[in-house]
Amino acid sequence: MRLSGRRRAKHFEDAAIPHLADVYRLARQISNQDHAPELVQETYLRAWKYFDSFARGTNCRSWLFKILHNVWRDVWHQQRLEIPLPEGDDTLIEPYYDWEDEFIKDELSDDLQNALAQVPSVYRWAILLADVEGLSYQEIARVMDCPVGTVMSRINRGRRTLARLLRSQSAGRTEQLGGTVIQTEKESANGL
Amino acid sequence: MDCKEFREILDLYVDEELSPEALTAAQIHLVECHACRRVKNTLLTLRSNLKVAVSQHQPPPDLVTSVWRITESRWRKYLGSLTRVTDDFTQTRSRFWSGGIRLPAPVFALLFMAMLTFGILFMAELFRPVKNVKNVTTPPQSERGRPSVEADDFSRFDHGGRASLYKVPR
Repeated sequence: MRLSGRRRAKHFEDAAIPHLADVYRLARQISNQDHAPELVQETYLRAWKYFDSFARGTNCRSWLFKILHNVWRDVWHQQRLEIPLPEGDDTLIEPYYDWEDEFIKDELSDDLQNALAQVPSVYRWAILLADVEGLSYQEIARVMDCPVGTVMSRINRGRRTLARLLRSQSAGRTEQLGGTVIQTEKESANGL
Repeated sequence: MDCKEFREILDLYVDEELSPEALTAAQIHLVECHACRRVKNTLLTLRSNLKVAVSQHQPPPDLVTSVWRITESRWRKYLGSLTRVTDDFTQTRSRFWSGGIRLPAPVFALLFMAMLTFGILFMAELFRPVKNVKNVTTPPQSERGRPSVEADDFSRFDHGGRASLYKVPR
């Protein structure tokens, strides 16, 4: 006689545990180094509790990301004092891609990390799921529980915001290397 | 397709979300337009750098251990939890020897305890010492060790009737 709990645990270990590194990587980017383990633990607790609702053979990684998104929304996001960025606010971002200068040629990881941390969280979710985790727009829409059109908009704004922040950092560093520290109008306007 | 249209669909192009027709039009434009090719390459460089920057972080060993422990502790709690009997009944399908018989853990525990209890009672009954019976009348013995006449006389059962026919001849 075999116990059904043992088989369930084995299936969970085979399906969900291998994606622990991906879940942690995403949790670290949407929160910080100190709170990422807490988010990951809560995610796996919920995943184990509701593992029976997971359809075998489907994408377990996307399912875990969705749980992480729910945990983040329920636990982390409510505790933060972040002003939500309206979806239609384009005043801070250029209208479309005009990246004809090579400002991302030799980008440092630290600069990217710093810039990514300043991107609004909903945009950050979208570009992390698209560019780092490689999810399709449909999968991102399921994870973030929003329409595909919203996903497209958030990805587009997220990338342009990230590029603008990188360009600002790059411009500030170039001026410092010139020997004098000049705070440009753009930096002072953006509060950098 | 002009430059403005291409840059509006640039995200879908790099994410491989374009329809076949739109993809063909975008590829034709890229062949012709150096500026849009540079913008596309910049976006691809941004994506790859972002992936490298983010992927350098690995989960700490204690987090990996604690996640494994969460799963184990839940499994052990499940074995002793009576509250999950109803959930388990909805999952369990009985199969016989070809696939194994699955029983909920609490039911298995109850069956085992019942068998153990009956086994103990049976063994206790089996090895119970026999009581000394005192009021049983034993037939008197003659000097030669032979049973007495009364042993062969069945008249006590027949009140002097035909019992004499049953006397054992000597």
